[in-house]
Parts: sequence; structure tokens; C-alpha cells
Amino acid sequence: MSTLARLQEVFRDVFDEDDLTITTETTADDVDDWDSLLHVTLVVNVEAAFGVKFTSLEVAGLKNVGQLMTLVEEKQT
Amino acid sequence: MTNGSDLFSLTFWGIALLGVLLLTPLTSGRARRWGIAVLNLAFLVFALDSWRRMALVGGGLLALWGLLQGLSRSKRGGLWFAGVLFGGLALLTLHKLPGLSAYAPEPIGSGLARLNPLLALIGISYVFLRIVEVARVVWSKRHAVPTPIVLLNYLLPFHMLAAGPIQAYDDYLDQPEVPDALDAQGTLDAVWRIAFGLFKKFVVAYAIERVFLHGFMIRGAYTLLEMNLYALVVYLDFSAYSDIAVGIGRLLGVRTPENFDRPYLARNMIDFWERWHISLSEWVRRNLFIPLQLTLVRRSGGKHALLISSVSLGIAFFLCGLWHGFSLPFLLWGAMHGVGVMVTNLYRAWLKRRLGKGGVKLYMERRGVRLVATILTIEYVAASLVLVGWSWGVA
Repeated sequence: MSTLARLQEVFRDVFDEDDLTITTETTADDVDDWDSLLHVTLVVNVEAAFGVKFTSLEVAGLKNVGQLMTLVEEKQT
Repeated sequence: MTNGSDLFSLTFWGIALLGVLLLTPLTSGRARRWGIAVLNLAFLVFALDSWRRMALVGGGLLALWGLLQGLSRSKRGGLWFAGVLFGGLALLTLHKLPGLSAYAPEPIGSGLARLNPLLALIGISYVFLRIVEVARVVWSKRHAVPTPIVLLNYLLPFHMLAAGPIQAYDDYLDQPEVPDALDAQGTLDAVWRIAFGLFKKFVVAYAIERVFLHGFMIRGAYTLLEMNLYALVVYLDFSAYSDIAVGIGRLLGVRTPENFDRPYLARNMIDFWERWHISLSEWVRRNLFIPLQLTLVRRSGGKHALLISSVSLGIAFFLCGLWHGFSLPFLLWGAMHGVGVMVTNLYRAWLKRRLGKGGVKLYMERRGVRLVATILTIEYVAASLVLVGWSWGVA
């Protein structure tokens, strides 16, 4: 399963939307409830799913799903 | 709220004009960096009006640069970061404590307090936030230590000294070294933005202040009118500084973040802080709220998410209040905003549980709800500003 597909599962779980579809271009504006409050919950769930850990500056600097995906892949290598 | 009206002198406009003439023909990043540094230094020379003060600022910058070098190389980065933070906090405290402050009716004139006019002139409140920002990115190895020239340009941009905005260091580095040349329309828009800012501050805000504001000395229904007009004046005055900074930034080709987005249309306190002093709320998000929330969520193993986000919001905004001033009025102002964002967070979660996701969407779209929510938000913000205006007079 690709990183994006696994991320999509986490997104669906966190935002409680079974038919949520994300792309690398998806931003917080495109997903209901993806505000700064749920952002950290999302990130912690991504960390658990991929076995990685982000710094708070990385978390704060994320602008779209593509950046999150790149960061996850960088941490895994 | 703002303290830099004295900075809008002939010198300020002269340097802005000189900047346009000097920077426009420059086509290399290096030349532009030096050109911008010359402008920032020139402004400091005129504003500080003393070589001794200039030497202090220069020495402070070099000391900070040395600390950042230590921070990036040492295995005990935390100690170096603490050094930067406490140094910055000491200067901020000196500037903010009532009695020591340059704005106090009779500042204590002894020893270190003599530094206060200098700290006020360079806008230490904003410089402090930029120092924390740059120290954090260097400590986390997100970026290398800036050169002294880049450090000067990031910390002390002459057009953002008076009242911000506070640019994120990521955003500062992300801008093109040589921006696209401004066309006629772009130039007109930038000049219009500056003119609009000047009109807001020196005509509209000034007129309302002179005619209607009386330091909340008139009791009865007038207090309510004055409370709302005071909130309007604070917005007009503060956002005017941002208009001027953004306009000058465009003319110089120096990215200058937007700071306001029609804040009095906000429907709750979280929405308000996404529209008011945006660069500060973004700073709070990056440097206080997210680190705090991330630490607490990890420690709790993902439990109590709502409680953690609410507490993190409350603490972050309480500290934000303290940043504005180390005094009871600002403490209470920060507490009101902290409580405001916490209650909004809890109310939104309660609504979602009660109405479901679709139900909340429909509820939020109702015009009556929107109207009542917006009025309540404005009045809450206006009431919080009275706490500040009551003691300190109109900013």
C-alpha cells in the first residue's frame, strides 16, 4: 500500500469520514474539521501508523498532504 | 496597542523612498541583501540618534549570532537555547514591567532602565518573538545559522519595527532572493495600500478618538458606545500600521505578511484570532500551542484530546496577553482571550456531539446564528479591550 493510501486511512479515521479522499494537494481548507486543534491529533495518529516522530516545527510547518507524505517518507528512510 | 507613531517620521519615509530607488535596479540576491541591510542600518542610525545606542544594538546582534553558533554546534543545545530565551526575556521584562517601561508616566531612571528608550525604538516586543523563532529553527537544525546580515534583516526590518508583522523565519527564507519587478498596477496598489493605512490612522481613527473617546469616564449607555468605538479605533490604528508595512514591503520587494482579515466579522474567538494580528496568532500556534499540545497529547497516549487542546489554547493565549504587557490589565485581557478560545473549543465539540457533523454545518449556515455569534464575539473582544483602555488610555 502506498504512503498516500495509508495516510488516507488515517485521515478517514481521525476525521470520521469513510469516503474522504485525499491527494498530495489537499490542504486543511479542503477537509471539514481539519483545523489547528485537530492538526496535532492527526499528526500523532500519523506518527503511530508509520512509526515515526515529528518535531513541533515540522508539525507547524506542514501546508498540505504532499508535505506530510514527503516528511513521513524522509523519516522512514 | 502600538507604540511606533514616532517612527513614522520624515526619516522613515525618506528611507522607504531611498529603498525603492536603491533596491529596484539590484538584480542579485547578495546585492539586495546588502542593500536591505543598508536601509535597516540607516534607519537605526537616524532613529536611535546615538552611536552608543547603535553600538549596543550591534553588540547585541553579534552576541545573539554567537549564541546561535553555539546553539547549532553544541551537544547541549538546550542550554544555549535557554541562554537566548532568558536573555530575550530579560530585555522584554525590562521593557514591559510597569515602572520600568518607557511608557510609564515616570519611568525609573536608574541603571538598566536607561536601556528602555532603545528597546522601545527597536520594537523589542516584536524582535523578541523573531529571536525565539530563529533560535528554535536553528536548534532543531531546520535551518543553518543565518549570517549576521540576514540576522539583521530578519530581526530589524525598518518597515516592520513599529508594530510588526512578525514574519515566520521559514517564510522569510522562502521568498525569492530577487523578486519580480513591480508593474505599474502593482506599484499603484502598493501606494494605495500605504495611503489607505495613513487615512485610517491619521484621519478616521484620530477623528473618532478625538470626538467620541473619553477614557470611559462617561457612565451609563455611553460606556457601551465608547467600548465599541474604542475597539474600532484600536483596529483602525493597528491595521493601519500593517497596511503601511505591507505597502512598503511590496514596493521594496520584501515579503511582508498580512496581519488582518476583517476581524470584526469573526463568529467566535478562535475565528477572531485567525483574522486579528494573524502573524502573532501564527507565532503562538508555531511556538506555543503546537509544542504544548503535541507534548501533552503524546504523554496522554492520545486520550483527553479535547481537554488538552482547550488547556493548550488557554495557556497559549494567557501568555500572549502577558507578551502585550506585564500588568494586571493585560493579564486580564489575555485571560479573557484564553477563556474565550477555550470556551469556543468546548462549545464546538459539544455542538458536534449534539447535532452531528451535518447538523453543525446546517446550524453554522443559519444567518441568524451567524449574526448573533458575530455580535457576541465583537462585544466580547470590545469588553476585553476596555480592560486595557481603562488603565492606559487610548493607544
